[in-house]
Amino acid sequence: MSEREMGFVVELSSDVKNKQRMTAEFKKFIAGLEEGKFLATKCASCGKKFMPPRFTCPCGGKDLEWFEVNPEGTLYTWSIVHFAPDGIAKQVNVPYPLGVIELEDGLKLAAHLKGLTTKPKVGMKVKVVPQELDNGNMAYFIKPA
Amino acid sequence: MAIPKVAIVGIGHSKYGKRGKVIEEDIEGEKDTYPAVTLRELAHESYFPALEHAGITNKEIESSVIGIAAEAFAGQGAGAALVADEVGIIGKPTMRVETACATGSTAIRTAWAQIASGQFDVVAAIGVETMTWLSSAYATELMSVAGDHRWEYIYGISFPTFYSLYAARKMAVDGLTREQLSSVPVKSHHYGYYNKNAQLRRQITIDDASESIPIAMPLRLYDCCLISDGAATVIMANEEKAKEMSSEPLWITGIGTSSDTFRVTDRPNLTNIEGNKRAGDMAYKQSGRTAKDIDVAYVHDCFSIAEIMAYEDLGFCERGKGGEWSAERGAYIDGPGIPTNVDGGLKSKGHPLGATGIGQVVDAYKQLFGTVEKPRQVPNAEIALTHNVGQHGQFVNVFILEK
Ligand SMILES: [Zn+2]
Repeated sequence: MSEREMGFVVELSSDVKNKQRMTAEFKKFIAGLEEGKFLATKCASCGKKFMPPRFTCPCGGKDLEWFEVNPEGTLYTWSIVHFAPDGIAKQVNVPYPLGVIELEDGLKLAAHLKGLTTKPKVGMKVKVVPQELDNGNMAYFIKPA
Repeated sequence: MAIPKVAIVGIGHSKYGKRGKVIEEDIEGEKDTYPAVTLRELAHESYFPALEHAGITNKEIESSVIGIAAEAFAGQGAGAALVADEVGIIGKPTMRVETACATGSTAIRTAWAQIASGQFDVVAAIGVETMTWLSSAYATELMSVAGDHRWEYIYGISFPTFYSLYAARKMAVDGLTREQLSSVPVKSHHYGYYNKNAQLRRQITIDDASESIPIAMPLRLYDCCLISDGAATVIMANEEKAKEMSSEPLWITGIGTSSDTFRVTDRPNLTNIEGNKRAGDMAYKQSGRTAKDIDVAYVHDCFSIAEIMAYEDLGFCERGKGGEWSAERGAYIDGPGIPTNVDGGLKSKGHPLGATGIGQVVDAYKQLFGTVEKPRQVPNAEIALTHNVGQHGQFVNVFILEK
């Protein structure tokens, strides 16, 4: 099955995609995905945790350490997109479901929701799974646990 | 803490609508698509009526602030220079402001600051947007790329999707129902029907809304606001000038503003928008008012769920009860609470991004001075609140306006 049929990660529209540089924290996060890990950061000063990871904390802390997050959690919320904007519609068949997974300590990630056999339900057990795309890029999706 | 006295002394409002596109030959004879109405024409439609209403000429205007949310919609860079020059405010400072869908109210807030600081006495805030010459899908694209490209957009999160994430969460946590959501656009269309400046003047039923086509479930077509061309202008002045030039100044007694996280997943909850509450609390505190004092309100109903959250965040009803409040006609003129969006809101009146926040203030002015169409006139209204949101809370402005 092609990525399009699977309703996968979309490329940025041509207007914007060349402006999205890979920053150091994003590279480290992607390297984690390649090893099957979801990496987040934690502020050494105030203890706040960040997923997606940040390198600076709003508290002023600049010392943030990496840690691995348990990829299992619950479905925090969901959407089924029937009408996608141009840039997305060119690449993904509608309708496609999306979800937000709530991981440990309230950390959340948004991604496509796959492998559902029932309607999405807030609170259902789900996990986030790394996935290598056809073009070699790393992404992730959410599926029932 | 009272804020410096600044008043609205002139108002102008184009009809909001779908002017669409025209296909014409360019200079080389090639066919090309253009907006049917230009920034220039729209600026005229709202600015000159405002100037006339204030009873002044361009000579008295010392500075202008121009709200245009997206250059791509107009195909014009540095749009402030064009708009200010076009209406003849020449040789005076001008600037463009942008805070997505809250651009209009940010133009007012910026003009307010120029006056409150003592830098200028009389300033024009002009909001203009031309959108409908583009397809809805492309317009949605232009708005969606304002999300986080790396963590949101690439997973196919469009603009309606952000709000659908709130709706699904609120249904699960607060028991929000489909029917409660539908009661919001039913009210907007009920009042928009009477508003001569509104884009879609048609009454709808709960079933029309509940059975409309899915956009980003749980949100359907009638949960989503319009895409519009339009313009609105307010002329603002300090206390001395306002009293001199107007027998009917409308005072800004609260000018609250706040923001919320860039990414939707970083929010502490998805049942409310905390930025709404922070901005509202600031405006209430400055004006010494509470929700109980508000006679008429204009809240940012880009989606039905957004209006329901605004009722709660601005204290019109209890947290978690916004859906019930809407279904129980809490926001109708003859209802138990604060009449809200009796101009038709973004849903029926329309949403030309850069103009929207100014258009709310223009209608509030007309409400408080008793000059709107009769069926949507709130009797004896003295105090109004306007609430304008950019993205899904990344920018929020809340104003309290008093006679
Ligand atoms: Zn910290």
